[in-house]
Amino acid sequence: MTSKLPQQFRELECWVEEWGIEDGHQRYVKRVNSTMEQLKAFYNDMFPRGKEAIEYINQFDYSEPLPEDAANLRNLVYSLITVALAVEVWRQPRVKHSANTILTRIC
Amino acid sequence: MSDDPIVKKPESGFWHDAYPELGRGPISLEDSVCPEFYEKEKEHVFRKNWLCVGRVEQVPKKGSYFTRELAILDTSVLVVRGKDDVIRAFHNVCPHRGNKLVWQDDPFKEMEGNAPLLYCRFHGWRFNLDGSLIKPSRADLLLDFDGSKCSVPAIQCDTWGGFVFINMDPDNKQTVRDFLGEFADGLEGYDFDGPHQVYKFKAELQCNWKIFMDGFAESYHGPYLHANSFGALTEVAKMDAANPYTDALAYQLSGPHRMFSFYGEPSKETPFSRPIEKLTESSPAGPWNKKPSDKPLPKGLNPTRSDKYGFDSFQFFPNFVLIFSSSGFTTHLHWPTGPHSHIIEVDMYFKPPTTHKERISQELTVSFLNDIVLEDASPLEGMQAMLNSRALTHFHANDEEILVRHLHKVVQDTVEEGEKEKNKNIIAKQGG
Ligand code: FES
Ligand SMILES: [Fe+2]
Repeated sequence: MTSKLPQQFRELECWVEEWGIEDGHQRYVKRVNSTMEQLKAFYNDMFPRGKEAIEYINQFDYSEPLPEDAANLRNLVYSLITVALAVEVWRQPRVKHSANTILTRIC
Repeated sequence: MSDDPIVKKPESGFWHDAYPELGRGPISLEDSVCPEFYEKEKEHVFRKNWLCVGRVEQVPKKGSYFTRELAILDTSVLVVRGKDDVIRAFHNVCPHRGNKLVWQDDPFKEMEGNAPLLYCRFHGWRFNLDGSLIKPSRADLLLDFDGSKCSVPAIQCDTWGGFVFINMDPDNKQTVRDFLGEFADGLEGYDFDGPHQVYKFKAELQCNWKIFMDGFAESYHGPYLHANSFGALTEVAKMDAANPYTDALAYQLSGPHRMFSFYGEPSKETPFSRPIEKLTESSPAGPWNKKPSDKPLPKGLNPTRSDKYGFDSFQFFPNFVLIFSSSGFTTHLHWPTGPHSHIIEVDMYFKPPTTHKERISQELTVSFLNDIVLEDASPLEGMQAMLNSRALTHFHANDEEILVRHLHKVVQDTVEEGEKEKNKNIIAKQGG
């Protein structure tokens, strides 16, 4: 069986199913439908490996599709960005004072 | 290019003194509340001016097309690149009995694609990409039928800077370039062609379209409305005096169009950078430490020639906002869906990344901007509801709100003149 993440990121594999989301809109929807506890749990596991993950992904040629395990890792980094804004900026899943308005991300 | 500023604030210290015809008093807010005004605005503002509906990249090849569902024009618009490479616009309707021509599955969903001809699913009539009839089905049944008078109804279409515009006014004689006027002169030479990395967002908000545009027509709301996103930075920026962090570098009005130029520094690490910004080496202003482009800016950008220049925002009449920053350009299109609601479309056109790291830096910029747009939008639905209460009849605009004043004045004047013209024509008809 192939693994979901590159060898050195194995301990993050438990997050792939939940947060390995390639589609930008789905990532955002997932964020606003999560509790702060859920967002922080992902952030706390993912953030410390962020630098290393970006360096790992960056070794690949941008003009070629990423291998599946590296693509999963990149999707986790994208989710880290989405989630970090809730954790670091708003301190809540949604933008402060935005009621239930969100933008639909088309691409 | 000369480095002389092409815009300077009047000696008096008030931008309004450069435009005395604007007035200075309270502004009627009927134009954002009244359903009857909305109907007139539809007729005189939206149906008589050039409207941006997309980009030429959306119709890359002969036969490429896209549709736009535009409630404010009470129509669906079909934009097609013809066999002759001319980009045309049509009402998306079959001239046989009026079936909607191009759609799949849901008639109210916008779509894009490529087709060798236009085909109507109802009775199988076929049309060329220029709208002319190729062949009705069942030619044996036709009665008093002139095929040359049976084309897909055309709408005037023109392009500028790679943007596709339509104009619903059959009497319009002005090109879009002339319509955009001296601001377009100043943008001559800007590299609109791309390729671009495109990020697109949209939402329907329960507020009048002008209320949203007003929020992007001044920047001194920064330390207040953006207190959460800009955090400690905003404490520095709150002051009851001329403020280099929040006041525009320049405001300019040109016919029905307007722009402001805003302060900024190259995106880089600051004492206020958040952990995720440090990790991705990026901020809402764009990826850090990008080397500035070696191409000179067109003369209309950074009109004060400030070395602390961040972005320029042009509001082209009526509903097309074009913002230039070091990341590229961003458009906001505002499509009213009623007197108290509209769809906002935010499209960002960045330089294509060449590494995964660059793509991740852009993701931070785009995600952060998405949230800031929501922060900008956050007061608007409550505000619209209170305007609808009619507790107020007017609102106030200070000197930094000169573009807000201008937008409402141009819309109100356009409606007033349009109504006058219409009544004159009615009287002339009755008299003659
Ligand atoms: S309505 Fe289009 S072919 Fe009849
Ligand atoms: Fe703002």
